[in-house]
Amino acid sequence: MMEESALFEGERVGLFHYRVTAEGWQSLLQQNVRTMALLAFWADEEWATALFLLKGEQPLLLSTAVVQGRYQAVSHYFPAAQWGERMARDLWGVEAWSALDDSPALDDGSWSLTAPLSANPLPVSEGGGQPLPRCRVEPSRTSVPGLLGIDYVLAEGVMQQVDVQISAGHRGVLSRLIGLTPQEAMPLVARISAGGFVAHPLAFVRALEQAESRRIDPRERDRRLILLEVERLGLHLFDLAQTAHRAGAGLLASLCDHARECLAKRCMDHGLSRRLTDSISLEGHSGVEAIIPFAQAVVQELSPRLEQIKQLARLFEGRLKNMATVPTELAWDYALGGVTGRASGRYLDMRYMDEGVRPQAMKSAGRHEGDAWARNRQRLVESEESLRILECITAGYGQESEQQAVPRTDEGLGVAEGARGDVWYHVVLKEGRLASVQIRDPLMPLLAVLGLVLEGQEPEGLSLALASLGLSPAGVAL
Amino acid sequence: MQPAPLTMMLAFLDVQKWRPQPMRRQGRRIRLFSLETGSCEGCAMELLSLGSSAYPLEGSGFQSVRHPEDADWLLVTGSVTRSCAGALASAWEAMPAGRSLVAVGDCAHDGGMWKNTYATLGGLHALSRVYGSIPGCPPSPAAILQALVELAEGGLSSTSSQASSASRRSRQ
Repeated sequence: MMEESALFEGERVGLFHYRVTAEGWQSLLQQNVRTMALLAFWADEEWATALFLLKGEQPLLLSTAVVQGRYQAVSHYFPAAQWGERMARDLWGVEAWSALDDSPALDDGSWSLTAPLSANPLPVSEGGGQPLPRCRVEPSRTSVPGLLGIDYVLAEGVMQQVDVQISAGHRGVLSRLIGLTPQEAMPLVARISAGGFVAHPLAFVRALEQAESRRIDPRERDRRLILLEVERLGLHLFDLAQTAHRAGAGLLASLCDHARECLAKRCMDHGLSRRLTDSISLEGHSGVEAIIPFAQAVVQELSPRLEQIKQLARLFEGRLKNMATVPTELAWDYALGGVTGRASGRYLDMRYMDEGVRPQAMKSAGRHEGDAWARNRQRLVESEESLRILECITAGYGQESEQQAVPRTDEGLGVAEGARGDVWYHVVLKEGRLASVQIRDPLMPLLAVLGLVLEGQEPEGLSLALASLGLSPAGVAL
Repeated sequence: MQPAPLTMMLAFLDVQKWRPQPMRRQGRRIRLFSLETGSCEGCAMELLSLGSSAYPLEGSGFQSVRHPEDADWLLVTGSVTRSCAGALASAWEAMPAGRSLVAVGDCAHDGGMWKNTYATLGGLHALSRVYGSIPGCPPSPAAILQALVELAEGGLSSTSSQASSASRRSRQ
């Protein structure tokens, strides 16, 4: 059990949110290293906040005041916090005492402002700021669709001292979102990451609904669950295809590519966008009214194709063994989610916490090997699971489920289990506008371990390793 | 479970069956280099799909290349973050004479939802003369291919569909 005495001394400010003193903060971090999983960390000029997952998948938000631009680092106890601390420093100019790493994460010297989200951002003088060191593989030359720089030292033919950079992809998402109404924010949130055209806005909408104590219609709940599974199918096919391409399995890649395009066509045939962009609605009209024929068409189209992909995948999977292995301990220590976590022995799936979840359709076990082979196996198994979930939802569409009434606090925490892991949003509303938004994309913890995972791999295998991890930096670079 | 040779053969036959018809066009093969400059990655993912066997990119007279030195056209996705401006300039400088710049998606054209901020420059429109712009958020691979063919043939957009129109702006 977690050490709760310090928590009780704190102030409860939200459903899962406590504020504690600096002493309480340090004591909680120190005493609960082994009992809590850190999901995310963020800080602004006022508060440093850590998002933990407790036993029973209960979230806990813990905040402490930022005093004179400083707070006690979380990464000292939970290394997974390092990217959040570095980003807070770049965006708000707040510093973490005894941080594991205090190098810039986003501000690579190209911005026109320093600490752009702080109350008093400083214009950068002519000539720009301090640039980050150049990467051996420049951000735009990595094989992932987004911008991910990789630096390493080549020793005895393998990569060592691997470092990653995501700064090139920073668009200033948070600066755009703060101050908007939720309605105004929706199109932006829907375009934060193509790795979560459904998952990101869904987590955002769920956070808003909690903040405003809004309940949704069971049919809307099911429409969202259907869209989430369809997105999962599409992204798993994308990652399988990219992995197959890099492994030289062209035929398998072709099957996955064709299946994904057929899925896109089904979406369009039923009045949705190809990749489900803008399909989640704030007002409770997600997807299309005729969602059941859509879900049935997806199942009908993809069932035989998945069977064929599965058969062919077995012939090529030897090429993926021992590639970019994520050890089980690392998966737990860094709370790695999604396929990467579940292929590495961390069998956690936030869909079990969803209202209206169909647990009877979710029977797939995880794996423990942690390599590219295990991740691909997991993607295939979870794709079949998605088809079963779609069948279950269509069979009992709109069934009432128990809903817990929560008081309105103008603060909400929402989660959606996307294809690549759990996406979390924390929102604070003030007079109907977003006073604060924080986003936890599943790549965030993976970034902290990516260097370790790639170490010892040959540079020639880098593309395959990255593809097998399904990396999408946009959701973290923001 | 089927024996391996049968699995391979059936998969091969299916891929052949699904292979789309190329879009015939006149003229030489055009070499394409893609550069992401900061976005949700949707357009970059669609370009990857366009390069797959689900679309007849090569059969329609285009070829993806891995280095800008080998490219005729630079396909840009993303809203051009300030951080990426250098990579964009380097890629452009490295291309041989006769080069052209094509903005793929709304972000690359005018920043889309990410206009000029402390971190972004707001697309190519404000920076440079652009040969062609392919609208969409993200545009589909079929729409991108259709637009590329239209641009290669030098014709102005003749369709009213946003997804399939390529608006030619200026030739460099």
